[in-house]
Amino acid sequence: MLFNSFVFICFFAMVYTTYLLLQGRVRWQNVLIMVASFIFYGYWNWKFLILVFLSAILDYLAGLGMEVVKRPGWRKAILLGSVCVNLGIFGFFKYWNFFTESAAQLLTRFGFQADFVTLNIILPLGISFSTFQSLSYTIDVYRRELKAVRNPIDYLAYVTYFPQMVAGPIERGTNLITQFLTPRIISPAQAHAGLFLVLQGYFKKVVVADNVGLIVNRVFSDLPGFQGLDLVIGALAFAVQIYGDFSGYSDIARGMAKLMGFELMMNFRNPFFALSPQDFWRRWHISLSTWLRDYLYIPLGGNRHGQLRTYLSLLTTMLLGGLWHGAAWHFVAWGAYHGCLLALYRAFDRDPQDMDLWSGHRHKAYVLAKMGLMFVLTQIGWVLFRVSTVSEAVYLFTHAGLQTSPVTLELAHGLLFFAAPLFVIECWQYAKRDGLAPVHLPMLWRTPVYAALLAWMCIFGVRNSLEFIYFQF
Amino acid sequence: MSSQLSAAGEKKHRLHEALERSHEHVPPATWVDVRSVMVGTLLWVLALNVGAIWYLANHSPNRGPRVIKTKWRLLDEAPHGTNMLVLGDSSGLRGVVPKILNERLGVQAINLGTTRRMLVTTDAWMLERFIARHGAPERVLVVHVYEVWHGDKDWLVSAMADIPMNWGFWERMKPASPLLPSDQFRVFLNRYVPLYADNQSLATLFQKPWKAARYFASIGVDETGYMPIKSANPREVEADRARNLAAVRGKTFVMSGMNRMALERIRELAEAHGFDVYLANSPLYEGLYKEPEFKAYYQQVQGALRAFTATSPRLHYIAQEPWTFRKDQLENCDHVTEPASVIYTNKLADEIRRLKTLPPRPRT
Repeated sequence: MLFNSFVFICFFAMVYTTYLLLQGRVRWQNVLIMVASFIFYGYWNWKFLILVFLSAILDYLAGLGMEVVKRPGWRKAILLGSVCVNLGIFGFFKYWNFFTESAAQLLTRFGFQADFVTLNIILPLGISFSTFQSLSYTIDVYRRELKAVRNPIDYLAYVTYFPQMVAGPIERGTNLITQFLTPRIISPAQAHAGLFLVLQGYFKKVVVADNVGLIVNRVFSDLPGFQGLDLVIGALAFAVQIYGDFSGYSDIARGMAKLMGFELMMNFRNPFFALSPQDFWRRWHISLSTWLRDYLYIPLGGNRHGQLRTYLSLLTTMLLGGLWHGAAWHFVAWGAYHGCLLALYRAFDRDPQDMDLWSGHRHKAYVLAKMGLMFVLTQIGWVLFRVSTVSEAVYLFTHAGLQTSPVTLELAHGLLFFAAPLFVIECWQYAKRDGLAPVHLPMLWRTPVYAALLAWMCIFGVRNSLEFIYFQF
Repeated sequence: MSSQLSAAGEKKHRLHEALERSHEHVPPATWVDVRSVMVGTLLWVLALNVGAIWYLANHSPNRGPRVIKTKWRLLDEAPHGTNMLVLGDSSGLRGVVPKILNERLGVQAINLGTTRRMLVTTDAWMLERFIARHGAPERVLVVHVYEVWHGDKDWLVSAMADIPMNWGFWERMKPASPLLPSDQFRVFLNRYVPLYADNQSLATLFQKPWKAARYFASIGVDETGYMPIKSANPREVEADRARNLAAVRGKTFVMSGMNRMALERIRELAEAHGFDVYLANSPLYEGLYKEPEFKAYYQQVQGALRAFTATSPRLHYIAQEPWTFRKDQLENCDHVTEPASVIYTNKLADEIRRLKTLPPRPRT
């Protein structure tokens, strides 16, 4: 069930009305959320509901087990069991074919004939997100940062919460579970912000990402058919598409959650204005980058064991982060590329971490140049992310240039036309240092701005909308 | 909350909350504010929609709806003494020159041809409305491209919103064409919610504003309803040929129920009011007509029309063997350029003159 489908809008309207009728009865609201989430997920493929249910129940029991058992060794064993099952399911569905095929290819190169079994596996929707969310719960309970949830309904509602189930934000138990256990009071301020986020999210998705996506698909489906500048435009368009698509999804999820009285974590914070890779990952897919930091980078040693170990930890974390996105070498290359960037900047960048255009640490021209450089570097990464094979990326890097073709102007016009409104909103939010800047407008201005966004969606919204990119992960 | 989190968890949670708050400032609001924002936004959208209705009625980049509205206006405001109507689709709109008919047949004709989506049904509706407003004509020429004859209600529903008559006219006119609630909803959207339904026209305006001046210009229909084509488009003709061939490949022709009922209504009106009706095949690209597959399909259309016109002495089937044109005389497979439209109209006039017809009944 896509957020940008008529079916979902009807579904949400029904669920939300019932939810409001149950206001004040937390347990019943949780039952409703759980049932709605199962319907939401089952609408895609009901068979996988069993998998979702079983893995959730297992983590629920693991949480309880770690709380009951006092001996550290047993607690660790329970955690390991939970981690192994979660990663086992995740690995099987996501990486079985990738690793068997890669191993077979490698052995063939060395003259061995290998014939591994490859399976026709359907990747469960949002498995990467739900696995990480479940893992964070059991790890937090193990670390005693969070008490285990007693009621299975509360836990199931948390782990399957439909607004963020399939593409995040990857919530931590410490943030979200507590909200499932206490009465939710929907304040008008929260509802107001939620409505804006939903509107903004839909705008980013159906107007910006889907339209720019048409350019991206056109260019990337036939790279040799385009000239140098077309390839550059295609790559730039993908940066806009993936941001519009993914942050649009996050905005809708967060907006809907606010309307229901929940607060999901911020997932994006104007990433095009990043000054360094560190800054970029503080702005892009924040729920993943902080997850990787807390559950992978720091346990790997973080920056506590010298420079070399820090760089190694960064590289490993980002490599795995790349692989988390998809079972393909170009995702691994993307992760490795970002790991190298993080290490390089860590070694040579001496600017303060909180520097921005207005902080006064450096001349604005310097900050802008640094921002431009980071944009270009991120852009290179996006090429690795979008291509289907590494050789496609090589082709694009070696053929991108300034050569034009008869369609260059059309592609550039399309990109500028649809990226411009997004750029304006982003600049506004960046300048105000507030993701909700438009909500602060006086009523007289706010309503026409909202109406313009709605009208733009009616006029330019792609009717046969594309699936959210991050659904595949 | 604190009952669920340990001290470490609580600390982490507070840090997280502080970070969120530093990047998103939720302004205070009351429920009245929320309602005002929602109502205000909807009112603005409504205003924009009304603006879009006005704009598209007069300057739509999509000429189809403008042609339809122009023709219904011409029908209502037909010059006094008009006694010959040219009905049909865009092949007639572009191919029949009323001034030539006037000279050759001694009539006063207007061209009410619109688009193929309107089917023969709107021919019947236009005829009925003309009779109600101005009395019966003496002659009616109906020009359709072959593919219209199998077209069904779905085509008409997509164009119904453009017919400038009061809501529900499809049930009041004959033949009645009752619409399902879903179709009525579609007509409603098309007529009253262009922001959604005619988004392509609006998108063109915003994406290519430098072309806007073109849309403000007249659509080029003259005072008799004829809409000439100035230049040929051989490349489009060839592309259209391929489309036409693909559309008829392996198909058997069946006249749609909608069109049959409309023809019967036209026959009924002709007999009741005593005027002649000439059904004519549209001009056609010679390269298309020589294709055996196409010809086989076309012969089925001819057979059906021949059979129908044989049912009344007031009905005549002319241009049975279609008059074909070279691609440098066409814009697509059935739209002739202005010089070719002169040839086509003269041939129509010749054939009408050759026919022995019953004398027209005095105008009612």
